[in-house]
Amino acid sequence: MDAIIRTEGVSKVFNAGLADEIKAISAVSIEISRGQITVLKGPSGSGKTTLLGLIGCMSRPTEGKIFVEGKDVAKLPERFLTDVRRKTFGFIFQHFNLIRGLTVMENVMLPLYPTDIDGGQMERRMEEILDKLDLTAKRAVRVEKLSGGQQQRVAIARAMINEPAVILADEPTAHLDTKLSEDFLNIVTSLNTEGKTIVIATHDPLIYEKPYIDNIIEMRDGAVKEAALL
Amino acid sequence: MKGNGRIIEYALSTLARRKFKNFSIAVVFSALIAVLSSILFLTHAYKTETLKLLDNSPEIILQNMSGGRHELIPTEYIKTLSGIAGVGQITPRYWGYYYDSLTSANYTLMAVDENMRDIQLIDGRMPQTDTECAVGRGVADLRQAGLKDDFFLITGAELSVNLKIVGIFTANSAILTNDLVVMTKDSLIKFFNMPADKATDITVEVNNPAEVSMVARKIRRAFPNSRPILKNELIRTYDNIFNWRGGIVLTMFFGAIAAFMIFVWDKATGINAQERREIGILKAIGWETADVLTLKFWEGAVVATGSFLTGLILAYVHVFYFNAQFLAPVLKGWSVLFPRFQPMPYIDIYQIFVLFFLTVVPYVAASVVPSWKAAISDPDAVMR
Amino acid sequence: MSKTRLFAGFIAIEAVVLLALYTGSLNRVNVKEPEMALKRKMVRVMRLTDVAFWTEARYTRHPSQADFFAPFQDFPSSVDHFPAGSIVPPAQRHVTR
Repeated sequence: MDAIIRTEGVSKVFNAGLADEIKAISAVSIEISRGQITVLKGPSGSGKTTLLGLIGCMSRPTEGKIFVEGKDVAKLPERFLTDVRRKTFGFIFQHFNLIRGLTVMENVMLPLYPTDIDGGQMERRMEEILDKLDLTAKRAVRVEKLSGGQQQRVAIARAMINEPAVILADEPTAHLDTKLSEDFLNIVTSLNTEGKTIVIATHDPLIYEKPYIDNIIEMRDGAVKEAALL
Repeated sequence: MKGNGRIIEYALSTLARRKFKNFSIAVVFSALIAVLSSILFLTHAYKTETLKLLDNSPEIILQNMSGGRHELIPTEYIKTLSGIAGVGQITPRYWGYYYDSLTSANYTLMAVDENMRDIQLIDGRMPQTDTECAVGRGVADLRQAGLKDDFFLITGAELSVNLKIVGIFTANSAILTNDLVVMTKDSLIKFFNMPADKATDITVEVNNPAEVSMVARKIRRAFPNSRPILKNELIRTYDNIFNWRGGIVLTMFFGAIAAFMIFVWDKATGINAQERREIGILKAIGWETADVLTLKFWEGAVVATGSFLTGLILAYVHVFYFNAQFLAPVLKGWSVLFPRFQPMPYIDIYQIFVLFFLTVVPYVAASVVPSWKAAISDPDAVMR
Repeated sequence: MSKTRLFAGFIAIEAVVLLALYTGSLNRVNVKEPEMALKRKMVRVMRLTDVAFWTEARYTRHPSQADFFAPFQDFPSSVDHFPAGSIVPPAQRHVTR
């Protein structure tokens, strides 16, 4: 199967050389298949958020190689890394990371601000996404006035605005009840049917026990425990 | 509008989100600019006008010194002076000071001669007889006297003169004439009880301006007790006086500048956790370091430029339309007769640029620099 | 893009006002030129050496004419009595000679 992302012996050390040196992950080699839903499963501290960040070009590994669309990004200069990140990935953070004080529209369009995309096109895309996520009524509301579920949908909308090939979600259901978690999964599966590759880092059985999960990578203590193709 | 334009828009949104904070900064910034540029504007206007005027002063003023003090000068010196090569017209001046206990003000009394009769900046005319005088606008106002009114000057018990005001110098000449009381030479000499063969000082014109210092040396050799004051010394003195940038600005407004600098420094040395987190978010969603720094540049530039222009406008209106009302108490000192007149609006664009580079540029730098570190760090920090 | 327009408009208005003030000042200087000429003539004819800003002391009324000791009244280190003295520095020749 076509791997959109592949890692080879990736390690990440934080605060290297200092007293509080942390080996977050070591020698991780995985493959993420195009168009599938992959779950990084494991307890907190197992290194799945770190791995997600590395895959998404948020930082560079201490050792190893990361191939995105066949290209090694591990040693890319910052500028090019940003470019890959912007064009390939959409992030949904655990704490949503919306910018307070801005409206739903502004938050969603934020990733496109520094790009050369035409303003009209940008707004059309935003309207379309807001419509899909049932946020049109809230478009001019400031994000801090929204409920948790609505905030997450804004975060999803923001992750989609770049039309990325891969959506990365870090503990997306950590702050949601069962009903909202199900809603989230519905959105994710519909994105998947549109052809998006989805990677979710979670320890929520509600997610990884779903039958439509294509691939589960289980992590423990910074290493891959088992890669199972379901 | 693309890329950069949208970053400006976003910078404005960011500023608007912290309305109160940024508005307060803008108010303080504008006020500081207004104060500093008021001083610069006023100083420069006064200085330019003064130097333009005093460029027409006599080439040499000769004082007689005695016991380290300025002493009346014998008019017989004139004969010797006219023998010095290169010397042009030589004229004795008769003038002095008068403390008016009625109004608690110092006046400058001066004698006129026939050549001064066609002075035009005067309502009425210059005095021609020993019972006439002309006064400056400030003196007339202080004494609440008008044309044809009587004007008393008293010294001691017996010595007094009663003059008729035949002219009042116009207000727009106040920079030169505000505290003047001019009268004929005879009545001045009588009033001051000056010996008939002495004058206050002597002005010496020099035919060739290049020879001034040489002539001055010759005069000193002829009269070792005398002190020639050259026009270029006089100009230098005034140039120096008006360079208060070193004096008043740094002392009187040192507090304001220091406070502003501390504030800028405070901004420069750290950004708060929320700002750092927002920078991380922007990076995580695909902004480049350069985009983040562009954003911070605009955040600083918007506040600083807006405040700077506002401050300049306020300063201009304050100085040239309201005669620098707020600075007057500082300028006035103990002067009872401080002239109130509209300064001539001489503007030095160079000064404005200097002020710009000393205020706007550091402010913008202080907005950008601290964000630098946050902007170059990996954005995965926001995930933790 | 409304905020950018608003801000650009604000800056543009301020710039126009400043430009108007500046050209106004140049104009006023021009208009007042004949008056300046009269004042210059007054300085020449009346042989004036100083401007009448500060009248509280000899050395502030006629800074260019004051003797070497005037700014300090009695002896060189005595504290100046007059507030304007903190604004008016000693004449240049006291400093340079």
